[in-house]
Amino acid sequence: MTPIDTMEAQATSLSPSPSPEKHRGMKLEPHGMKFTYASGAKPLAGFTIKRGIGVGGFGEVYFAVSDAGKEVALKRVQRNLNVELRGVSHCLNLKHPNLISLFDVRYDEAGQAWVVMEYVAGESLRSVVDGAPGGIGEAETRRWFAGLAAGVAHLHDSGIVHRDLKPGNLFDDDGIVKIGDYGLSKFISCSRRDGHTESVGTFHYMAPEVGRGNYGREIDIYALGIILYEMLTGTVPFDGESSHEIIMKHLTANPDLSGVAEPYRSVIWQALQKNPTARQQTVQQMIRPLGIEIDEHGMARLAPGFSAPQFSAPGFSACGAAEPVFQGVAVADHGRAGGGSQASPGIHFFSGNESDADAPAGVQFGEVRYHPTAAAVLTPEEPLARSFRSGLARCRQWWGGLEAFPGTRIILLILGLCLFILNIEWLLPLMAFLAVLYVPYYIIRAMTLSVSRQPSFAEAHHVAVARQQRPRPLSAKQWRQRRRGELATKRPLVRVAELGESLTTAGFAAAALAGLAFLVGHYRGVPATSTAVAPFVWSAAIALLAAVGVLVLGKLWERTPGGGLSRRVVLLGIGAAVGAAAFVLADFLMIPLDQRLARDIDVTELPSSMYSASGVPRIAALMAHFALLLAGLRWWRSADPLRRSRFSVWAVAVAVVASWGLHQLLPVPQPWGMITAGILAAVIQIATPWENPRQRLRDSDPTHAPTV
Amino acid sequence: MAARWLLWVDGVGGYLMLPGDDWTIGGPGSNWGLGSNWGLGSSGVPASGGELGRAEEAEICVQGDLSAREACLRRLGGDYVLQPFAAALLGDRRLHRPTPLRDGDRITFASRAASSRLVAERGGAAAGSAAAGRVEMAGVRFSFAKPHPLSSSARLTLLSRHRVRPRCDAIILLADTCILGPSRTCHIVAPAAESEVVLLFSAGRWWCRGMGETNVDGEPRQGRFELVPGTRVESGGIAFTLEAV
Repeated sequence: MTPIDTMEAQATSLSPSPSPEKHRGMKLEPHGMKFTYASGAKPLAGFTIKRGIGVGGFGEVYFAVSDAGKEVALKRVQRNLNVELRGVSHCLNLKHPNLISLFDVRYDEAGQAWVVMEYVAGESLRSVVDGAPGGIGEAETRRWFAGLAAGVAHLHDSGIVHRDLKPGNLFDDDGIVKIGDYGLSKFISCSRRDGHTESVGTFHYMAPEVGRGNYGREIDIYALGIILYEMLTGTVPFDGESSHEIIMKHLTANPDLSGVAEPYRSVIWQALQKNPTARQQTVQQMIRPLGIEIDEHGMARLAPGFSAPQFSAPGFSACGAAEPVFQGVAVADHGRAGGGSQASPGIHFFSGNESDADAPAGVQFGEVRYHPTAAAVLTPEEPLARSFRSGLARCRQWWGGLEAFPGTRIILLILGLCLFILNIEWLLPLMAFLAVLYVPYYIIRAMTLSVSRQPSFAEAHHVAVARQQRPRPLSAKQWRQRRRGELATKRPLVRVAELGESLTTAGFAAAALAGLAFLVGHYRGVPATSTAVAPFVWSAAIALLAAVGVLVLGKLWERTPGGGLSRRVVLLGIGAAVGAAAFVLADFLMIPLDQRLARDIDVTELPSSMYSASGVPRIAALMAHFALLLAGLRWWRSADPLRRSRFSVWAVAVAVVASWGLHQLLPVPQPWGMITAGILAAVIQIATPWENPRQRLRDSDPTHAPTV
Repeated sequence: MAARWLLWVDGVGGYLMLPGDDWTIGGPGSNWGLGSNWGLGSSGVPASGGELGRAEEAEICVQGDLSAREACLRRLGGDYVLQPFAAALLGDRRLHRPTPLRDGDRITFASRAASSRLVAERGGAAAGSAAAGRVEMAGVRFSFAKPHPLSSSARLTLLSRHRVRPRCDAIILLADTCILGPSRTCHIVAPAAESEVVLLFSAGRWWCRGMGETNVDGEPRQGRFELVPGTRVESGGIAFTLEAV
């Protein structure tokens, strides 16, 4: 017999083809079950049967009253177990509050055995769990599990393995957990040895080694693990359409514990080990991490210092740097909002405010009140960028995992690089094209989000109050965070007006800078013909176009700090569009694009899809050049009102150098390329308004009226 | 005292059937332990009202720390009105006058100790919620249900750790019909049942109609038939026996 066969034989139910819910149900319902004895029958002298309670694996259970009025449960053991009954006397005399008392084993006139035991009116854990599909909650779980563990520990302590722990055998007797059927499972194990297999009823709680026939108390630990899992989640970890499938899962599958919080997760994980020796060896060992103890009298005690674990809500981890603030808010909400952690940020802040009234002494909620940073940071990450990022993270993980195979990485790296270079002709335009598509999507999304982030009056009031209460000068960082939050709450109309102003400034600045460049760069002695002016106009136009793109995006980005990847992708698209426009414009202005392409690399190495045989750049070359130029630098820093200085020459220099560097790879006519980059960097900084960080000293002054 | 019956439903529970429209609720009489065997006659013969102490006992007798007449429950038309004689709470509200009950109401009868405390504290400002909370802790708690829209019968379920005499899982206040079946609107909910069974009490006799295939002591029955106490009825997955007490 294979282990599976043995297990199935062990668990053969009374019905010939057990359905999955029959396994679960312990068949305590009378559905399809006929009770042999009706109310009023007296098959066992001294007891009057009142009603059937249920049909378990061992036989029918009745509620009966003795002649003196004692209420009992009578279990009619269907098989004649004379031989085994001698061995159960110590089971009969077990005494523990969490065990259903066995009073006696009696025989009726027909020689049939009846177990007389304590009657428990409360419902079984089976029906409790069935009534709560998502789990019975942590508090109830702990209550049930404490009683259950104490009872099982007492059984183990008495040298008895229950062998059939399952929710259908556990009852709630007015708050006291009662374990039933322990004595009878002893019968069953004995009869099994004789080849008289008897129903155990369910496979869901059966440890894998049961099929091998060699088992000990570890199978109870295993069942405890399953029951704990089921109480927390409402489902069993190993379920299937057929008994065979369930047993296979017990033997091979790992439980999915993703929905279970610590410390339960690790306790269940260990209890469900396939190898019995890897499980907890005692019940005490199992319950200790859960903050449950069994005292010297065998009673379960919930440790007073045990704090309920924080169930992690999805979305928390996505916030990255925002976590400290978010958690602070969540703590302020704790016990009030409950599961509302996914509510909009605004709700959090106000519930945080409400918490002030009943906040325990010494707990500072001040820092988690409405905080502009929180508002700014909590703006959800753009979903495409997020999925890309998570994909990247997974790749990185895989990459890290390759450490075990030395050399693999280098080979893969070289292989990947070769593939990339060989296919650069179509890869680069494709990437640019995708980025171009991404731009409108990103802008529309950002704009709709900005509408939803409009502050309510109450929120604005809250900000004002919070500002007025600020006692000490802010650090530069705090000031920036606060201003950032205020930028985030700007009305769209204000934003558009500011943008219009910036764009006008940018136009003038670009023209002025191009004029300046012309004055400086124009070759003396050459007449200022239209041919000589055209390249400067071209540079100014390209720079202006790119500046418009960066300024518009900068207006959207000023609400949040940082956030590199998605911004770069957007800029890549903008750059590609600018490059295309540059090509068209050059064509229109009749600027010879093959001028001054001098660089250090041989012309013949240029990708043929981007450059003609004679080295004249095609549209793809300009697109790629400007895409890389825009994506390569953090332009949003220049377009940020909260940048460090009004105008940074350094930023202009970096742009020019970057342009030159790109020129080595994808040449464009020079010096126009570098002039364009320089003008762009300068125009963006000139056109973007700037908030002087020194303002913070003024802002910190409570007498200074805040302007929101 | 009016006649009482216990309905034993296999796999579901035992129900005390109280026909009529006026019931007292109270604790055991002062001498309840002397002659009574809790109404559970060993022979199944109904315990007669002639036993010592039984005449004083409330129809709904809770083995708790209550006075013999704690409250009175009346059916007026289709409504149930609770008239407290001592400290009683409906939800967490003190009852002082007859109050109609609604489906799902929770009733707490303060124990005698708790209600005396309540009286003692009534003068002080603390008589409000704090005292009510203590009464809630100590009291006998029932939930009231009138589940079926077409039947004015109701169900009282004991929530606290007390016992009703005779021992039962719930009390059916019988107006006319009592419906057993799988749905929540039945007076006696048998989750595994396939069809409903209607019990009717009229002029001291019980009638039964099973919606599914019905057997009485193993013999098939059709339509409405008289339900004789002590016979076992099986219908649509429900098996029950009526016992007179």
